[in-house]
Amino acid sequence: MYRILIVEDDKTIAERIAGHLEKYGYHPVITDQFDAVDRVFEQTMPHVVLLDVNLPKFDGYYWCKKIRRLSSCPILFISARTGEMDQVMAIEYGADDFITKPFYYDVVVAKVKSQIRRVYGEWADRAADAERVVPFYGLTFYPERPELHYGERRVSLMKKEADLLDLLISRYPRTVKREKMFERLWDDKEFINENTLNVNIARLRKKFAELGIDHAVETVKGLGYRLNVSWNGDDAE
Amino acid sequence: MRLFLREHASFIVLYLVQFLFLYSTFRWLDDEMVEGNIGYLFLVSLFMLAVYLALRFAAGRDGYRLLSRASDWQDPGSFMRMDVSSPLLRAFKDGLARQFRLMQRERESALQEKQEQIEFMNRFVHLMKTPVSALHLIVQDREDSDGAEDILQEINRLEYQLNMILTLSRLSSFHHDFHIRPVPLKPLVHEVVNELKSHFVRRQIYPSVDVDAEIRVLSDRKWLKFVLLQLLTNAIRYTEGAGKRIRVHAVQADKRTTLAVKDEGVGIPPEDLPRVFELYYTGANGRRFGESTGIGLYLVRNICGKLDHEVSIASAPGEGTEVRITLPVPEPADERNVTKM
Repeated sequence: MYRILIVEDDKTIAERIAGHLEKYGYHPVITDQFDAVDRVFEQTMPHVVLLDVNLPKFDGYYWCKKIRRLSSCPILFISARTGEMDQVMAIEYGADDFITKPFYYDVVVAKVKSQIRRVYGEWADRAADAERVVPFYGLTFYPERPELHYGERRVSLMKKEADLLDLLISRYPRTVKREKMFERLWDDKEFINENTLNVNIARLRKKFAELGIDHAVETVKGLGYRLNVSWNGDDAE
Repeated sequence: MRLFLREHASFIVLYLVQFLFLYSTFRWLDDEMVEGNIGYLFLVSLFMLAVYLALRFAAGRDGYRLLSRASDWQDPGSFMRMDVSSPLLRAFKDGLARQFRLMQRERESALQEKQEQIEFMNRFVHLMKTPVSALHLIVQDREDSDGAEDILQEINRLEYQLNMILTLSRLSSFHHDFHIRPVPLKPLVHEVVNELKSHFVRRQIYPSVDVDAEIRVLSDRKWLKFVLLQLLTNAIRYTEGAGKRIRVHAVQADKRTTLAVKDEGVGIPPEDLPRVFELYYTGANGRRFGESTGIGLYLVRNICGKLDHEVSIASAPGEGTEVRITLPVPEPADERNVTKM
């Protein structure tokens, strides 16, 4: 299990990040010994360090330099400073990446994951990286292929259809707001337009139809969409 | 020379009047003695006057020259160069020098105070960001609970205002905080749009970016990013109704690139349009939306002015607003130091 040392003087932030990392199968270690971060490092020998820049006594840059003398393990800075100079400085002191406050959990997890892969090998993170399989009332959804199986039948999905289905299943039996779907479909390179959501919902319905299922994706007027288990849910594999 | 003569005009007049007075007195007393020597006497007396004036002029020549051009003085210490031996001018120079030092000391302490204030602001804003991030995480953990989205929205607003303060205080030290380099435009626009993702999503407004991947402009990446962030934030804020579009497009012509941000929003009333770049001016939309600070566009114009970019705005109420920025295109010689992405 990968140990992740969190050096952050705001307790709330440290604990919440730790809680989240735990969910993803990592072993977080929080420290409040801000005058001896290097000693804590030697005791825990973490695989990744999350380091705040503004710390009491010495700042994060100082500790980064100290840790670098001990180890070449990935160091990720977490900072409220957004200036280009601050990021350049962080990299110069030997940091591997930079996360600016405020941030989303997903960003932290993604960055930790990518550092572990980079340093400890492509398949090293297998535990946290096993294929996700989502069973749902007789359907089996493989979000990473992405495929949807129902009894003997199977269909492959497009990336965006899979994203929507993932969202719908995780929120079942609640309705997923259009906003939420919109956010999920957001593409950093090719921005979505007014048709993207409608088109993908239509496609997803067609995929369900290919499995012989109708009316699985229901429109909730003025709000969004939700799943409706219109098939025989006991017909599991 | 003229200043010197003006200064001594009364003395010269006095001298001549006195000479005439003496002449007439002597003439009244002894007509003959004076009559024959008058020309000689006059010459001697005039010679004495000329010698006196010449000595006076030599003692203060530099001062008269400098002082007569006082309106052209450029640097604050010009009078220090005055090399004079005349007591009055010396005293004057010393007095000025003292005045100058006092003013300089005052100026330095004012500058230092200002620097401290900027530093304080920076620290303060960064300190504020920690509880804001903590709140952000707390809300993410309770994404499904009632009102979580509104709280997140308010947190975003807090963060936005904090960044605004930071920018305002940074602006005062702008001159040593910018580097003009070739900046690839498309990645920058994408970065800004992605940063505003949650705003677009929440309002269900669709961004459309039409910028050629080849286009580079001469600008400072960090400040240009702030300008774009500001323009897009405004465009989103003043667009009502889901399904509208905000278009960012760039056109290159004649060594200049025009970058336009066009929305389909409420538009700006014609009577407000000429004043939207003024500090704290909010206009009718400001009253209606109640979210305006009157700072954003002021900063945009200010920053663009410093970067040598032109800004113009056009708007039609009910149809939308378009802000255009005209930026220079890099010459081949500038291409050596492209901003790292």
